[in-house]
Amino acid sequence: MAKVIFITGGVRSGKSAFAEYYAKQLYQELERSSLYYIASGVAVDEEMEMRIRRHQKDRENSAIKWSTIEIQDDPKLPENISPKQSVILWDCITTWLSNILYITEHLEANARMLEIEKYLVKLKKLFISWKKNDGIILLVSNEILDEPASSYAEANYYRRLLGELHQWIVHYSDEAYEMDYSKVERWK
Amino acid sequence: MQVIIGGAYNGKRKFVKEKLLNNSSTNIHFFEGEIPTSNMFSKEEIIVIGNFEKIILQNVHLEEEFIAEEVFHLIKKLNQQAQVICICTDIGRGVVPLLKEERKLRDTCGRLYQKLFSESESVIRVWYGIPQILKGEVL
Repeated sequence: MAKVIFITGGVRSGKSAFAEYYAKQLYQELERSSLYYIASGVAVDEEMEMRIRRHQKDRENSAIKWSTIEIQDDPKLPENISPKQSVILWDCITTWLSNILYITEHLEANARMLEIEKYLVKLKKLFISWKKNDGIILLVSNEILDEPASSYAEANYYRRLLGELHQWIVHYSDEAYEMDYSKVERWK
Repeated sequence: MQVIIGGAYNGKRKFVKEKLLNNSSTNIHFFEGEIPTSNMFSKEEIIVIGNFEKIILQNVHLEEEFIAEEVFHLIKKLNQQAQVICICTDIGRGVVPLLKEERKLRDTCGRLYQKLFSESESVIRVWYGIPQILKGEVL
């Protein structure tokens, strides 16, 4: 059984809770041996650190044990992970995309675009190979495209990249959900 | 008249283009941020209009309901001579913008979209390429 599941929603819409619940359910029902959590957050300030700690605590207190994988930029999984035996939850890919924009910021516009494209291709390849090898992955993202365009070019660039990535993921996924304040809408 | 609504970069134009591929016999015109004023179109022709934000911003000094009614009037008139498809970018779901002008744009878009929705035979929401019919029949 292989699955790519996409979950998106606004801030505090309950998407993380839904994704964690669903990941645990698949882990139990399909009798997989490992449950992984991909963390992409970089603690840039105190609030962010608290946020990361709160998420860590939630997972520590859970009856089922999560293992954490850090992916801040290079989308690569440790080699000893067996897709057939695992369920992965990545919450959330918007944070990863922000990191990519940040680490490429010093590059000249065209070079930067190419560099970002390389990261995106690598990310998509990771999802494809994970699924091909019977892995299950749940991807959580943010809904930030239903508001007016920003007056900052950088923010609009981010929105475009995220929108195009979402389109690709939704197309490739087996299931796609949109959360609206704890109400789940299944699109696919 | 038809409306396609969705957030930015959700694949609304791509959806329209793919749907219209089967419609190769007719003439299709795309406009962004402008409403054509020509009266040379015929009923067989399809006119796709996007970027209502730009159209509204050109008149942002006027009153909200007035702008919405004016734009709506032009679209209705155009739809009498050709088949109009409106591409509406949903910008009403985020935080209230800090700038007065941005708030007005958002509010006016909402007013205009309500009018377009009620006039259209079909309204389709596009979410990352997936269509959902909110009103009427499929394109």
